[in-house]
Amino acid sequence: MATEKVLLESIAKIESDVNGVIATAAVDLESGMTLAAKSNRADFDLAVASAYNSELVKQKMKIMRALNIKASLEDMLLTLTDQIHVIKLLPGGSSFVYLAADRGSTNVAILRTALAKHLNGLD
Amino acid sequence: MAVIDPRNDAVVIRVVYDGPPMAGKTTSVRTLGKGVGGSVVAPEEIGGRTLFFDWLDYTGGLFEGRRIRCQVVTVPGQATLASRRRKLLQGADVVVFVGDSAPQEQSATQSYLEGLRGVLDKVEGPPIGIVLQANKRDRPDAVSLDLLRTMLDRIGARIAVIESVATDGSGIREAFVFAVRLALDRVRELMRTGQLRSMPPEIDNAQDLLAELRRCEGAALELAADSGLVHTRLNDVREPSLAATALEQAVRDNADPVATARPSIWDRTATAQAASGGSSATASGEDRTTRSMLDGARAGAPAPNAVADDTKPPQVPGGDLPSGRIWPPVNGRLLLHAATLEAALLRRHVNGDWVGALGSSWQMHSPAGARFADVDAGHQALVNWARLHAASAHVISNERCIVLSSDGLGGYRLWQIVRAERSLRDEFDAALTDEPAVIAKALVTLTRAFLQAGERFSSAACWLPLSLRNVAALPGGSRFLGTMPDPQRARPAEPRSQATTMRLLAVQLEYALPELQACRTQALSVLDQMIRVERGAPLDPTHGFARRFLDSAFV
Repeated sequence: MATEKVLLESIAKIESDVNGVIATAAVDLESGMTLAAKSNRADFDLAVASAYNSELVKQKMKIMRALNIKASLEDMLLTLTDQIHVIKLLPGGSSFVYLAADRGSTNVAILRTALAKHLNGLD
Repeated sequence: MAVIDPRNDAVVIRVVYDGPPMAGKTTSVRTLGKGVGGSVVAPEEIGGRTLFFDWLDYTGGLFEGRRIRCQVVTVPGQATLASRRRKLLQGADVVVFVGDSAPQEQSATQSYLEGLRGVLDKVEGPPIGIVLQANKRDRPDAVSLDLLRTMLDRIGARIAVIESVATDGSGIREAFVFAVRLALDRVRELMRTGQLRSMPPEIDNAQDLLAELRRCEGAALELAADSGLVHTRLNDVREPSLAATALEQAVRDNADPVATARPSIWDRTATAQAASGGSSATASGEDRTTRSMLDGARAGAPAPNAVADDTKPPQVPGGDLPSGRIWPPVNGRLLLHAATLEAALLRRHVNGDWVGALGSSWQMHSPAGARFADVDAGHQALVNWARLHAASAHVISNERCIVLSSDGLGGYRLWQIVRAERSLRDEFDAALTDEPAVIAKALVTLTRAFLQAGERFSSAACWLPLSLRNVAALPGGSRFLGTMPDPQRARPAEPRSQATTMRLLAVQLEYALPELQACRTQALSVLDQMIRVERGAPLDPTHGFARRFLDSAFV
């Protein structure tokens, strides 16, 4: 498991590449507990978001197994009317990074590129 | 103990931070509190007294759709008050043991750890996991992790180790999240056995805990507060109570050091598997029987959902597995964590099994056919195998687990991981380099343990091979050290007569004839003295065997 310090450093680098980041968290998939978190808005409860997002990822993995899909889950992109949420699984599959950004300030391609660039090599 | 709180449908678990004084428990919890945005409450803020425990209430994560409410409590330095520390620990679902990495603190760390295990072992229900948070790793003279693991091996502790520097937050969150995982393993087991109750927690906040401690300790706390004691152990200034003395004695009695060595992993793993008709057979009367057993089992139907192509090297299990894929729960996860810190060496046996070693301390085995395309089928196989292990628990070594993990090839594979412990063969090999008197006594001890194993293995849930490399004399009796057969290959245990066991032992000891010949006369003399001491009593069969073996082997 990457340390909290390393994860926070990666989160800081992601935020420097992306405009409009609302919140970012590294989350333990099994428990839904945050391993590292940074929220730029007081009303965005990252603990709650992390917990329920872990359920979302687990459900997606269940669906893939039910459909007998052998491929691995890399990321999940969710588009809201005013936000974009990205969930990126870290290598090892036991944790993921969750990022929420303002839709008017960035786009999916930028988010995916920044996450791939700064999370490469973490586990 | 964990409960489901019906008021908010949350799982409530207690995470207790224990450890010697000044190791960094309070700093760890306060740093954790800052990180998760929770506030830490100390009793000094309640009731106007300085009582030195910290309470952090944090809700986060999800378990089976329920929020996880963590009551995080530190055991204060003054908790050498046996009743207070015991009370706090008895309510734990997991313990984070904070240890100081300074060399001069290691004996206190070991002593406290042994005491902790003594207390936790008496708590009912599934085992309570322990995470060792090795703190103050920024010290230039911090002891190495290898030394810490050696200490843990010495006291027979299955404990995950996570490094930390509490003052800057490093490792704090990792240790906490790992602890939560262990607690959830325990909750899952409570759920499975119907012991997880739905009720508001008996201790719901810091005030409740304070009231409970006051009720338990009465005047002792008043004395501590009135004397203005700060970070001073009460036991240093008053006579130990009878209860404290009794607890210390009980803790000492419960500390069972387990001797460890560096056994020949490949020999043991290869022996068990090769005896089934693999690469190198050993001089064992069991060879033919074992071989025919495996041949018979392999002729049977393949496992449901087993994938045919089993030739590509599978991915070795990692330390992070979801709950429900490790047996036994809690302890299995701790074992897996320790084992997977070592480098893995894997090879495919001629019978299709995958066998290997993790470092020099662990052997691993996955039967041919233990690969599943479907995780549910794999889970069912894990449950079946766990049942076999559980039914044989009284005769097999404890340091083992079964895991179901992704094989990296799109499927899942079932593994058993067993700690390599010092076998009868290892003990006797060490004695063979010593004086004749030692050799003679070692031969008697070995014979006794082997005969006991022959008798005990008959009561296992399945047939277990009996060999010097597969048996250890452990506290509690002779135990099987090898890998268990998978349920599809297992056949019923058969009673072994003492005569059969002795014949088998004689064959297995033939390798030592050159050394025994060199000291035969002196060893016989020692044995005769041992037998003379028992004159009038029925001849101990172990002495009789040892003498006959030495006497007749060189005729």
